[in-house]
Amino acid sequence: MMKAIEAEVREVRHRRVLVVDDDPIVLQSCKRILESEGHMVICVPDAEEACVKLERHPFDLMVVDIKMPERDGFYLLEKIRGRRFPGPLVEPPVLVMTGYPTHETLGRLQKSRVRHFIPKPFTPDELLTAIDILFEKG
Amino acid sequence: MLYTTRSKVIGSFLGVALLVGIVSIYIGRQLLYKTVLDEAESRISLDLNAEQRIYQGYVDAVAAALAVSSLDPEFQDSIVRRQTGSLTSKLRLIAQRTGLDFMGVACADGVVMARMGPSSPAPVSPTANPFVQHVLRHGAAVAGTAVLDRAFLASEDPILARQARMDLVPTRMAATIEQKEEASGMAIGAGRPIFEGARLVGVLYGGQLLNGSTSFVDTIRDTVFQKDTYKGKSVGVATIFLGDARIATNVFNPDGTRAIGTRVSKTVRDYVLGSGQRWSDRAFVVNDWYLTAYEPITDIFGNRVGIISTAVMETKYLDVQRKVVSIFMLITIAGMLVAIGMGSFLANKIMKPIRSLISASREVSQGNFAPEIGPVSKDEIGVLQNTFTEMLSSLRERDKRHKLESEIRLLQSEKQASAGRLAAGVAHEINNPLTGVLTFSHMLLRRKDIDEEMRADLTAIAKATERVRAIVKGLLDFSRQTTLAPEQTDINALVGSAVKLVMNNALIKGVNLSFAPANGELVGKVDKSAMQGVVLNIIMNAVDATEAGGSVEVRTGLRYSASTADDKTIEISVTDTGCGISQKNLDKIFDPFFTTKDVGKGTGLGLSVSSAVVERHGGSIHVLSAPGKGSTFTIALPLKDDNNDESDRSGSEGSAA
Ligand SMILES: Nc1ncnc2c1ncn2[C@@H]1O[C@H](COP(=O)(O)OP(=O)(O)O)[C@@H](O)[C@H]1O
Ligand SMILES: [Mg+2]
Repeated sequence: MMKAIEAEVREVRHRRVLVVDDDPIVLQSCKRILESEGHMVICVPDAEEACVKLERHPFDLMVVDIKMPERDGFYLLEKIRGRRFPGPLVEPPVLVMTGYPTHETLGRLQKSRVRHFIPKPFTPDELLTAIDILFEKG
Repeated sequence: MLYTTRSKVIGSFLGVALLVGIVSIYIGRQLLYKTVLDEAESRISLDLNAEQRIYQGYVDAVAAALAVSSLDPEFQDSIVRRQTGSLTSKLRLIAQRTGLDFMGVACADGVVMARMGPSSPAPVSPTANPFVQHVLRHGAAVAGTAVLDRAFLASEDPILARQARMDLVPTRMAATIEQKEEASGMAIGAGRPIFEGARLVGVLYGGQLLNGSTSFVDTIRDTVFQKDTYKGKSVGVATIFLGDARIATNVFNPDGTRAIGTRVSKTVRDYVLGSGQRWSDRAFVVNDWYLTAYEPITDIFGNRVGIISTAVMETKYLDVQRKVVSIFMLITIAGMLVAIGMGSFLANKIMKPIRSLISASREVSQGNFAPEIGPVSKDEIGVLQNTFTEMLSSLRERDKRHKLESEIRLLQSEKQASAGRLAAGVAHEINNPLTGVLTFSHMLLRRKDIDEEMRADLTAIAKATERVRAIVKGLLDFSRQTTLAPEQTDINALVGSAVKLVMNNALIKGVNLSFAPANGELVGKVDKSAMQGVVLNIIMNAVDATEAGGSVEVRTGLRYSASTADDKTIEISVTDTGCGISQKNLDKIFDPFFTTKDVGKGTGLGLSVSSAVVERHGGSIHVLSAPGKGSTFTIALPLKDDNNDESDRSGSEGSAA
């Protein structure tokens, strides 16, 4: 019963989500989970491409992998900081994913003022809960 | 340090040599001085005796000459007949043969009948001739010393009067007198009565004037001292005094003339002429120190009229003494040199093994445990060397053990590090596909249109994937040990919260889990989350190993090291009454992936991660286990200095409150 209500609430808000990860299976998984909740999902394989997409479209949320070849997640976070993008938000909130949460990584995230973080692997529920928490807490 | 030992040894040797040298020089000098002086004094007194003998011999010779002449009948006849002319020539002949300075014949009334001197004599009183006077008075022959006055000398021969006259030289220490010159002479001579039948017909007299005579004193000198010279001077000198003035001597003035007219010191004069005794001592004569002896000369009437003396130069003896002393000094110096040589030789001999020991210990401190310590000596130093060698071998032993241990530890950590890198790589690679598996299995499970069987299969897939996730998480934990963030932590609180986390599990399982925290504050610098993971894991292992009804007791405490009071160790121990660990597993439980638990229950990473975390805090985990009875795991964490201070401060604050 509760689940149904939650799903309904989620359905009410169709969010535009940009997912950034170098691994297609992760992109595929995220797209599958988020689209099942009615969100609009755009997937990109690297940071440069993410920037291009951010220039063109407004997004409500970014789900970003930290460890990527060439430009990593931190590069992207740096790049979008304080920038004006189309859409209602100056800078979309970020949920960071990583399969390798070291102390160092966590420290850098804290410095980048990213407070929302989910370790890989995750179940669909875990991802959705993390997003809910992000929007509830802001 | 080395040099003082060396100089101490040399110093003591030197001291002994110096002491012996100085004592022997002192004693030698004293002994020598006394002996030499005694010898010189006894010699001088012998010399004086000899001189007196010679003097007497001269007297006897004069008497003999007169006696022989008087026995000549022709001579006697001339006297009886008063043949002045023939007498005079006869007298001259005799005097020339016997070396007499004056000679004459007096009539029975004392008036001179004939004399060897010049023919026109000044008239003189017959009493002026002491020899004739003595013979007339006693009627017997006489021989000896007599003082002849100026008038008599002049009447006998003006040359004699001139020879006798001398200036008196003012002399230091002599008695003060008015007299400026001495005109009288002193002579040895004899008188002999000449008889015709029983009638005295005349008196024959003759003698030698001592004043200015060199032959007499030089004969004495040459006889007694036998030309013994020292530094160009005669060692011994002989002197005849008239009264206290030198009339014949071989003491020389600095200008090379004989010291005639100089006088003897008042002390000697009073002693010898006054009391008539022999005087013997060292004395300053004219210009040198002499060892001297003086004896009075008594004239034929028994009056003390002069002094006969002999003297030996003191310098000769002093030089002997000086020479001996300087030889002694040379010996002392040689002894000191030998002492220095021997001292440094001995010091070297003693110090050599010690020095090599010192350099050996220096090498040891630089890490060489097999230094050269040189040949082992047979004395106490040998014992030291042996002890040192023993110490070295035990040091080597310990070093070897240490190296082995650290090698093992290094191997272990290398093993762990590579395992960690591998784990990290694997985890990262696996996490992405795992996300896919988890996502799609769960998405499938959400569908309403699947049958029960399919749902069961999908659930199995999802469960298995969860297990993979747990394993990978363990691997990650294992690999994440590289970064620690230590901070001051209340250890009791940390352990307490870990106990709380396991408490539910324990209750469900029926295991009695208890926590006995240490009294007071227990603060250490640790990485909170890592250390909590360690404690949690060990408690969980204990609960897992314990059957229902058993117990697990957790304790914290502070242990002081036996050696130094400053070394303190925090101990966290977990004791269970579980199954225990078999001897063969005891070595393996810290290996990654070693587990005895059922598949899916244990990853075998807990203890390997835990021991790595604890070791990186500088601590260690100890296990005591009795199979079937239970185990105790103890985490020991050393308190570092800064922690020490803080705990000390809190401790003292606590006691003050
Ligand atoms: N308190 C204990 N009593 C008995 N055995 C233990 C205890 N703690 C650990 N062990 C043994 O050590 C093994 C390794 O433990 P650990 O490294 O934590 O891995 P896991 O707990 O995943 O098996 C355990 O499987 C068990 O056999
Ligand atoms: Mg375990």
